Amino acid sequence: MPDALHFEDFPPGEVAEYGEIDVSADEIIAFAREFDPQPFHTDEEAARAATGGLIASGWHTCALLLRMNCDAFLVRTAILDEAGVEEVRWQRPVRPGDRLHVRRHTLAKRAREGRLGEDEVEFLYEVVNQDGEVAMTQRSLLKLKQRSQPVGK
Amino acid sequence: MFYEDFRVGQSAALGEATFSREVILAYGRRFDPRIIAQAVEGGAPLVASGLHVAAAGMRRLVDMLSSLRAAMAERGEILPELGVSPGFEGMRWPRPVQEGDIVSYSMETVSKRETSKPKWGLIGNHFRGVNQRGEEVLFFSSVVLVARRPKDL
Repeated sequence: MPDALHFEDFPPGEVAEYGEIDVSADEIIAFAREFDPQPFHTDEEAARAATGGLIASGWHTCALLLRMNCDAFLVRTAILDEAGVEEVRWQRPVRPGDRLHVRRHTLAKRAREGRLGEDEVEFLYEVVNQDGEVAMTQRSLLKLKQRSQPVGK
Repeated sequence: MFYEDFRVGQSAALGEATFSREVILAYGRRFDPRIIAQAVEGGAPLVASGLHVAAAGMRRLVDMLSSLRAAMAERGEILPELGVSPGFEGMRWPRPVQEGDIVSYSMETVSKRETSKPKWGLIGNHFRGVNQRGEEVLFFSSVVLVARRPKDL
C-alpha cells in the first residue's frame, strides 16, 4: 500500500465527516434475524408497542459504522492491530428510513515505548442521523504504522 | 429472568457459534470489505471481524433468553418485559477468530444496581468468547436493563 494512510495522517483534534447509508426495514429485520432476534428488531407489530416502531439492533449500527469506516479509510490504512473498542453508547434508536453518516474525532495518539513504528490512535466516532442527532458513539483504539519508520525494520 | 433472579458471580454458558468461511465472507460482504480483499488475495485463513464475533455471541444470548422465556410461559408464569442495553465497554479480541473456529460464549453477572425507576434494575456483565482450544477470543463488559419482579408475584 504505497499510498496507505499512516499514523501521521491522523492529527489529534481532527474532525472528519463521511459516509451515507440509508437504513431500511428489510435490512433491520434481516440483521436482527441473524444476530439479535428480539421482537423490537424483527417484528413491526410487536415493536410498535415496545419501542414505538421497529428499531435497529445496536450491533447492526456498529456494523454499519464499520462499513462506513472501511469505505472511508480503513481499507487503505496501514493497521497493525485493531486494539479494541473502549466504549459504545447506543444513544438514540435507528429506525427504518434513517440516513446515517459518521463524524470522526481523533482524540489522542501515543507512541508506544520501545516499539518503533507502532502507534496507537484513539478515535471517537459519532453515528449521526438525517436530523443531526447522534444515534451512537464509539471510542476505538487502532495501532497504526508510522510513515517515518520503514516497514520490516 | 427478572432482576431478582440474577446473582453476582454467577456465569451462564450461552452456546457456541461456528465461523465457517461462508459465514465470515457473508459478514464481510455486507460490512467489512477488507475480508473480501483478504479472500481475493488468498493464502492465509480468513479472519472474522471482531464485531461479527461479538454479534454472534449476542445471538446466543438472545436464543438462551428466548428458551428461558418459553419455559416460563409454559409454566404459566408472567414474563419480564424486555429491556434494552445502553452499550458496552472494554471490548478486546485477544486472539483472531479464523475460518473453522468454534467459539463458546459465556456471560457472568458482575454487578446489580436498582434504578430510580421501580420497574427496572441494571445488571452488569462480563461477556466472553473462547475458541475450541480454550483460548479467549472476545471480552467485553456491558450493562443491561432488566425488569424487576412485580411486588405481587
